Amino acid sequence: MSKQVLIDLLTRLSQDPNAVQEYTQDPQGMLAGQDLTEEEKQLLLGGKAPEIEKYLGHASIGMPALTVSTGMTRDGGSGDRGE
Amino acid sequence: MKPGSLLVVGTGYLIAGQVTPQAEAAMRQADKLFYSVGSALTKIWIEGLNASAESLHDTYGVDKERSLSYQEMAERILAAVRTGLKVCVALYGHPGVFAQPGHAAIRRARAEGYAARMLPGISAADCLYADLGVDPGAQGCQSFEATDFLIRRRLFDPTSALILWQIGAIGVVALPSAPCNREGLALLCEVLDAHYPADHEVVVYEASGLPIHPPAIVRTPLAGLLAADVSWASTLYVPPLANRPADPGVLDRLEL
Repeated sequence: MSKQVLIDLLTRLSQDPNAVQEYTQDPQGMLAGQDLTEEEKQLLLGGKAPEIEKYLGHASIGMPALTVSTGMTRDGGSGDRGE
Repeated sequence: MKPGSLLVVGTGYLIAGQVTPQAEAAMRQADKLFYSVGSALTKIWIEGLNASAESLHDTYGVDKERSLSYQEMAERILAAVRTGLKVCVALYGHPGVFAQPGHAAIRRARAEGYAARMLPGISAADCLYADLGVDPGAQGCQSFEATDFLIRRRLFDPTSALILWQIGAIGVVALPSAPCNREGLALLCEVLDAHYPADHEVVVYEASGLPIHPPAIVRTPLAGLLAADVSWASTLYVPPLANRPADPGVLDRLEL
């Protein structure tokens, strides 16, 4: 249940730049009003996405590149095979 | 038109903050939702939107050329469209900017007689313009994938802004084995050195994926780029040199 509170908070902050500003000015104050565990508050204050993702039970994915230069090798490899 | 359709949408970079209402509706209403995103938090959000959500991440493999992964993504998407489903594909950023699988799937779907469309999203370039406070219209802006920029010796104008993508993955065809291929970056530095002074400030940029975390913005003179903190997801912004003077002849013809 608590993990969902964490997810909901991050989602709300992603959608509300004024809330982010409020958080930036007084993170402790904003977190004090949330139904979060002390561990979750510390994770948020640390601000490291991989650690938050690990806590939520998901390994950090990392940006999966979605493009590659065509004709990158002399034999035309890595060419337009995505086409 | 055959039954079965395809919508390709973008999720931007923040968990749920840079997705358009159009894109979110498409994701919610799809019979089958595929996705490829860079954040586990976004993954959690997407899986909460639609129970059919399925990651395409398993198409990547160590030592496997990414172009093969993109081909497999397109094939998996098309297989679902062919069954008559309303399919949505959500890709991080803008789904068609430096992103091959969405374009490929749309072309194939249309060729096979299915309705297929891409919806615009927020790309890393859009985040960069906002976070760095630069206007691509001020002196123009050129944009290249870094490996492509080097191997084809792309012609560019240093008096316009230059954006180079994937500078940490120059010459890397599979998944990266290191955060940055320094040999490729060294080659890029050599090319840029020929066009800009060594003290020209450049910016290594990475959009933020977490609302409570600022974007990564590292400013360095060009001479310091090789030693800068560069990752697989880094983008290089090279500000323009002093603007060119206006051509009097053209001004005359335009009566300016």
